[in-house]
Amino acid sequence: MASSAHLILKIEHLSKSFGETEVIRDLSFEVAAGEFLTILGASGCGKTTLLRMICGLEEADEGKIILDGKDVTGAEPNHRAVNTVFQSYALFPHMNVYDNVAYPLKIARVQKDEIKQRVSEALALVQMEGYERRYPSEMSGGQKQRVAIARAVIGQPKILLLDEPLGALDLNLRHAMQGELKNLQERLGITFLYITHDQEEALNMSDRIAVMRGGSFLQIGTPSEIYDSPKNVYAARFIGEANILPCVYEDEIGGRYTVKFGDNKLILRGNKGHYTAGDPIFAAVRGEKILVSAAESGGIPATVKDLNFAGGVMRITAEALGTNITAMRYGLDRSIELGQQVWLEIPELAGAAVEE
Amino acid sequence: MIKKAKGATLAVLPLYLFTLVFVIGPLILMLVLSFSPRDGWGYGSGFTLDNYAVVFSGTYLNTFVTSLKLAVISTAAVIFIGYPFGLCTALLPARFARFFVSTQMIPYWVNSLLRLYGWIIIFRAGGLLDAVLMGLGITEEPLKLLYTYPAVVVGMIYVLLPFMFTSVYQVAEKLDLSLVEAARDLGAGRAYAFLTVTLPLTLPGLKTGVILTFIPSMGLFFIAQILGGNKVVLVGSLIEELLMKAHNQPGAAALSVILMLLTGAVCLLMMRKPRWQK
Repeated sequence: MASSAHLILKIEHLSKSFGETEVIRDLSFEVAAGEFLTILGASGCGKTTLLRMICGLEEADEGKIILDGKDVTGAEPNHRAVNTVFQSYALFPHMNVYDNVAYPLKIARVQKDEIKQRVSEALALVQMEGYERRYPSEMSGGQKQRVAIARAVIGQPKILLLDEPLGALDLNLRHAMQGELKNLQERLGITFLYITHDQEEALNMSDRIAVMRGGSFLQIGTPSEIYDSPKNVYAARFIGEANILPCVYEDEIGGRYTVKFGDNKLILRGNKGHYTAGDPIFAAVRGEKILVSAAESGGIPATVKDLNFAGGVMRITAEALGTNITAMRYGLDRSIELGQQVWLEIPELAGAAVEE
Repeated sequence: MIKKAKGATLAVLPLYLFTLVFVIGPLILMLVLSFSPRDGWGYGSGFTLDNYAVVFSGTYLNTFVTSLKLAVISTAAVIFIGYPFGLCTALLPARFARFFVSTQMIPYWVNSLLRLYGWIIIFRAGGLLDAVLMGLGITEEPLKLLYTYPAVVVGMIYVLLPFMFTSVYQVAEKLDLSLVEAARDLGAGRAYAFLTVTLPLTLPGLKTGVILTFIPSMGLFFIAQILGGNKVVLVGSLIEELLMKAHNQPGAAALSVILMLLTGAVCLLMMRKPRWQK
């Protein structure tokens, strides 16, 4: 994010509890105008509550929500320039597509001719021209999804909130819609705040990803930052597939950590934490970075436990010091067999140091 | 499929026969009767419009209009009380909603005729209502509400309200609240969201309620008799009187036909479904 970018949303120390359960814990973050920020988390992490607080359907216990420089913390939903694409689409069943999409404009008392023009533009944007007279019950899930998006963007909100919008679609459609959403966001230039539990969606579309757990962000950064340098074990496991090796910290030289996995020395990318020699630390290593060798190579000795060949990628799971490590390799290698002794080599800086 | 359909047809056949013989049959009989001339205490053969001419003459027409007015007033009152009550109950947490619904239902385990006599105790001069109002110093003299028009209206509302309440409640309970939230999110204030989303989506319940309220209210003459004395004569009592006291069977039939046409028209109007509901 360029620091000069215009700030569209600022969340300051936001907290929310339902009864005894703290759903959002002292959360602060900023979103730049035009950014595609994905909040990624498992169900129950508080992401939907956060979204509902931003659009005003849920009240904040503490903290502030500042939208484009204006404090909207206590404002009614209709007084916030944000619109939401709900997971269930929430299209009005008693209105046809035209009336659904025109709804925000009618409230704003826009002239009839202008409404007509803007509705057809919005429908063209989501490739739903010609569906004006259809009712929601006469459309497929994907079509309803498109109409819901058209309805949410027609009022030109400052931020579009999307609550797992692709969750109810089948796999193929989901993939196609990912590309379309990203494309749409770039064309409209509207800030997208996207909520999902699907890491693939997050990695594909986002400028930044916030990994959420237990009501706060574990990590916020670009997809590659999070993929390459997860801050902790949860983030590493949630995004992509990572091997987590319990290690012991030794020392740091210029941001590189030297750690020991059993007797094996590893050089990891540091995480700016404060450690002293002997502290426990974890190494997160992506499977595709690990080299497997059938001949002694100075790597970590391990025993092959599982072999899985699927779609051009071979997954070799081997056990070393009680930890299962999965390495990936392209193409089929028949020289490796179950139960065989192999050596796993983790190149310098291939892994990242992460907190528990 | 064909076999299955045949089996189903056979199974419901007795019911259709029953309906044909005991519902449609009498209706046709009544229609014929309404066009037949009076003959002593019964009816003769021939065709005449006299019965309808009589019905549209002064007294009968007045009674008809009185009935219609009472039905409209009662239905309107039941809508204004029952709709918000049903809607708000549906929005309550489930266990409170169940409690409220049962409080509405329990009195109906007792025959409504009996419960109407309860209102006599409340309304009569020096009765419960007078005792309370005079005790509080709000009124000085007994109101003498019993055997007045307002007493009949209260009785009507009392008997009909649960039908409206339950019809609205049943539809409102299924209302997807995320639609109301979506409306608010898209810029609608509370009132606008209610008018454009909540109301149209709960209207089917309201319409069912109107059918269940308006139609009986045209014929609930016993309420007018118990709480209105002889002062409020309704079309229901008139039919009864024509039939049982004046022994004018064709006249009673003609009046019934007109009543049925009116309620039928209201029914059809209320049962019209917009495209989204089909």
